[in-house]
Amino acid sequence: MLGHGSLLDFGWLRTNEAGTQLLTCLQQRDGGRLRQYGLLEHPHIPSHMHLEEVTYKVMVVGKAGVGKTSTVARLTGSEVPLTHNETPGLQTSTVYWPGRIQHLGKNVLFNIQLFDAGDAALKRYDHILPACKDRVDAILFLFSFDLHAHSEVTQRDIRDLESNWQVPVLQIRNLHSAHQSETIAGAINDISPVLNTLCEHLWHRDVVMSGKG
Amino acid sequence: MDVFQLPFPVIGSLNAVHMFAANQGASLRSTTTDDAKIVWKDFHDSLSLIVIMGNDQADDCHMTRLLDNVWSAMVLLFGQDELTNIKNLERFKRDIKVCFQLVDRLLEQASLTSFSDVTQAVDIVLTPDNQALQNFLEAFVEAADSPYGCLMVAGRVAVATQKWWNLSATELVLLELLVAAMTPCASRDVPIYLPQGSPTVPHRLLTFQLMRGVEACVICGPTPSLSDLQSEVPRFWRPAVDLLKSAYSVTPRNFPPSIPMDQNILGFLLVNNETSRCLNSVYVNSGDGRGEALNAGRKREILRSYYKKVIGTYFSSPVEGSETGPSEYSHAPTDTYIVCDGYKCYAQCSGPHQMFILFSSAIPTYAMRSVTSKTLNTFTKDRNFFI
Repeated sequence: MLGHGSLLDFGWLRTNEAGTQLLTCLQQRDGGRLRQYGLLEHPHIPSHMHLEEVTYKVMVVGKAGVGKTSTVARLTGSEVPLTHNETPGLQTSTVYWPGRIQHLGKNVLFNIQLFDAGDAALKRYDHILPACKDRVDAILFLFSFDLHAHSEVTQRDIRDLESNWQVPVLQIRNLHSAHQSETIAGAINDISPVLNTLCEHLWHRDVVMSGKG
Repeated sequence: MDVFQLPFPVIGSLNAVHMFAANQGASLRSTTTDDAKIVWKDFHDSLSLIVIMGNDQADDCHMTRLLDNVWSAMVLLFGQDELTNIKNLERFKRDIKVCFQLVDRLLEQASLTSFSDVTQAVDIVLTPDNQALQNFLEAFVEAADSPYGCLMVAGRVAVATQKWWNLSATELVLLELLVAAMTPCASRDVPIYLPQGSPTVPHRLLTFQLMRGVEACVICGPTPSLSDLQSEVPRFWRPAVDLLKSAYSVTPRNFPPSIPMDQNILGFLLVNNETSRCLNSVYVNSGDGRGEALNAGRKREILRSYYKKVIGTYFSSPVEGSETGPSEYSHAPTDTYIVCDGYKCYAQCSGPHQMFILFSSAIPTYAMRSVTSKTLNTFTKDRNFFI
């Protein structure tokens, strides 16, 4: 499995001046969450930063009610729904996330398009699944578990799963802001490991693909 | 919304009393208790819907309309065949959840900022450049190979194609509520059935978030794919960015700042029953409405309950059953008003239009009629606007 932080410089976003400045551009004014952009809008990146933008399509997969829509909302900076609702059909959301490619010393803006389809719609309508799979770059498999003392899933289970299947297991907590006890800055800290790892794997895939090509 | 589940015996009795009446050849439609009202309605001999609400002193037609809308909402997202021909009840209970978001929206009522669920007319916003936006929309829907398109601004229709306006009032209203109810996202591809136009064959509702508060919607068949049409969005809409921004800036007033309003008007609701459109504003004069005695939510609440009190009692609307109350009079009322402690309300009928205005108590009661007529004319006589 790809070593954590072997392609992308994860510290750069937190410690480097340019990195933190970029992250500020992408955040809402209160600094709590990422900013959302309509299809005609784009992040205002200072022109001297010369960012190459790379676009990826990621499909979100999981059982009905596992939290696909909530996870997408959490990652893109919109409000996590208070109650569970079956997603009627397919919805796409965009998240912009900066990264620094270590061996190139180059900064990249990842444009990740998340495809989230309701379980019932996937089964009932023929066109939804092909729309999700068409030119997809990665798949996020979602499952839900508690990591409490007596939970069914242990840290060891997770490590085993990671090494058996050679996929990283990422953790995210989807809480509505009314239930969120953490500080505002914590909100970004919570999602950055997920986005960092996702971006690193997407970049890795491109490196491998271009090597083959 | 956290709502406690009704105990099974209560659900059982609610259903049983209705069924008992039916077996005796009677139809139990509604009843009132000390503080609540219960209304029953059967649909296609398949499902019975029962609604319980605090007694609002309004005519039953409003609760029947709510049940009709709930049924249509289920048809919209689930299809009529699946509702009238339920094979596996457990599965149905699970699958019907796809409608809950929209049904909740209909039940939330008081927390909505729109009025379409009660007026059965779609909420609109009057932008300064409706004609220019119309041209952009027409070009875009042509690319989608569909005659059905609409541009929504802050959850209200700004412009729509002729075919979209030809949808039934229920369809217009439910589509408006559906787009506003779904989780915000960049684009969607939602299978929908049109309750009147196509209750058994699904279409696709595609929506695109152009910028904050602005969504372009089309209804189409199997093609084009979501990503194909999405890739066309910048080409068709980028030249309209400034227009879209100025359209959004009209909200929450919902009509251009160039149209002056009497200082005593706190809010209004204007309905055209022929075109199934309604315009409302509770930010009429003071911009953000701060410093006023009534906040926006309270103003909407008053307008809502005043509308429900008037329709079905003095005025009728296209809603089934709303003509019963007014027909008891020997004449057709055209004006009515109430004077309360903190505010006054005036309602006026003129052709297809019905205007409901919430006034501050400062206005002399004798002046309400002429101010209402004048305000109504401001919107209906202006050629730039079509309500």
